[in-house]
Amino acid sequence: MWRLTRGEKAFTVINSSLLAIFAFVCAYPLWYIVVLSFNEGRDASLGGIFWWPRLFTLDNFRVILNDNTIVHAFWISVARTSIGTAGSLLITSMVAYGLSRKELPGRNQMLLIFLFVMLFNGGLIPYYLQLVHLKLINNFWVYVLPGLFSIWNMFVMKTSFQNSIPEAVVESMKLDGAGYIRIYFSIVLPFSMPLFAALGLFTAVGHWNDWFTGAFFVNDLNLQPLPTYLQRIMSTIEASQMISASQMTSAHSVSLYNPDAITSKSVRMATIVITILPILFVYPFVQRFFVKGVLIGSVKE
Amino acid sequence: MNFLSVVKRKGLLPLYVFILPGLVLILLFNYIPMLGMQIAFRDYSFSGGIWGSTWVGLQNFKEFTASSDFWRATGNTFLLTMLRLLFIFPTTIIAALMINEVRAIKFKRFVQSFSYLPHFISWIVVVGFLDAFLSIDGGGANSLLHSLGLQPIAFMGSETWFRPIFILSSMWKEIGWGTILYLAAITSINPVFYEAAVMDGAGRFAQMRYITLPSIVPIISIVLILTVPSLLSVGIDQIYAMINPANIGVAEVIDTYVLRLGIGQAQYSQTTAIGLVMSVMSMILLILSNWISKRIGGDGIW
Repeated sequence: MWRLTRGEKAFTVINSSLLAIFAFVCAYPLWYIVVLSFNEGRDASLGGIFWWPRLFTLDNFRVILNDNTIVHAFWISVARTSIGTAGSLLITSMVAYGLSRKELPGRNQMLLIFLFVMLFNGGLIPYYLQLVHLKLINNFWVYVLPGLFSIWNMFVMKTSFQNSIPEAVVESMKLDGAGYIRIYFSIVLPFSMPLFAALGLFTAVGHWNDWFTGAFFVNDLNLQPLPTYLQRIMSTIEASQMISASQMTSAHSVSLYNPDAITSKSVRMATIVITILPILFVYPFVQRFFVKGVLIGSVKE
Repeated sequence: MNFLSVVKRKGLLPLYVFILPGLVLILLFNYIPMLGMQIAFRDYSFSGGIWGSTWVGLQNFKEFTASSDFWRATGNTFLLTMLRLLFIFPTTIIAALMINEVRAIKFKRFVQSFSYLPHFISWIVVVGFLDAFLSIDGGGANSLLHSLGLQPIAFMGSETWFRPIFILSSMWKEIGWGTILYLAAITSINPVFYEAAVMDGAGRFAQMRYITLPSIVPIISIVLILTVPSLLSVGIDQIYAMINPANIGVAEVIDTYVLRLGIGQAQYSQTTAIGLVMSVMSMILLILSNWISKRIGGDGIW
């Protein structure tokens, strides 16, 4: 151990305390929501709950699981996230691989075509009219197709392919008679897994959190993803309709819960918990790839 | 013929096949909408479509510049993006320097893990948190006010509180994530500099001041410069989730204005005209800031 002066000791203590508070502030809102979602709604509206549910109940989650629209929305989100992420990684990495080969005639012209799109865009309305034209409005594929190719990720991958895949390996494979497809599958893809983990996580989170597409390009309730639905029930009217609907469906069975104790707010909290659960679940496993993903993104060609 | 024979001899065809889907997708979702921007100069009608509506020259541009709602939205956009820059940019650097000074690896990882987390939570959910914590009926903040004997405050439906809530929630969400780039830059500093500084009698604070901070200045300047184009857009997620009839006067920005007028009220031509002006301006800002970034010796994005 090195010796610390008194000032440095004080600095370490203060610095660590402030950072501990910072970490706490980042995490506490999540805990607060979880606590509220497990508390009886009417009781929660009296206030004063901070650390632990006062009147523990699972009723808020029962309301949600009785609501077909929200269960459906959950699966729409799962479907678009998995198809969209896998598809985007595949298409984007294929394009990136093609453009990373310097011997390709026309490569610079194609790079310019892609680069220009990063600089200039047509704006929301012409994009919307094009979606109308392509019959993607009220269509599941509006969630997947426009995001299938990410220009930003393509440039990140291209840089990474150029820097991290030794040209000598590629050359020797070529001499052994391997074509470009073979090289892509047996060298480029396996070498790039940490990068794919990071970019895949960012893409997946983007899909999972996207409420905009569902809110403005889809009117069909059965096609709405979870965050769009959450955004709708943030208004009290929608939430109370959901409660009364779930009371009707459960009325003929044995009454599962005390309907008076559920409020629109407590149902909203439970919906939020369902929405963030998958992110919290994968977060610890993919976290270690973040830095790599961000770093490669910032490296200049 | 010559080109084709080269492609064939070197087996390059698969590479073109690999690139093709990318070209098709940006043609469909980027380049064709650019052609669609011409409706900024037309009076768009459903029967005529993009190519058949009548030309009206600059009328759409004159209309939106004459609207006080538009200027309110522009003012709000600049104010909010400037506030965000002012508060988030320096605090992120300070946070990165503080995290870097932690010597206990486990504690450092712990802080980093929790500070990155908010970045991955959607704004809809964040506004759900805000709503829960700040609401009149049982929200934590009003519980505290109550126990202090103060009147409850309707935070979310208030013009006065909108900007502080906007800034604080932006900071909560992005400070931790913003440190990642600086921390990565710090790890690449040559340890020899620190050793030399220690020999010269530099304490921890002096090392931070004279070694760490100057070493990340190039990254800081790039981040700052690349923030410039975003001064035109707050990002729709946060504002759309926070906006309501009570705070619309301070909350409406260009993005939400375009959304409300364009998709909400089908004013396609006028909102496309706004979009065109914004696209051109952000392109100019981006090229300009990239150029400056290269001039001062940093890296550009291209």
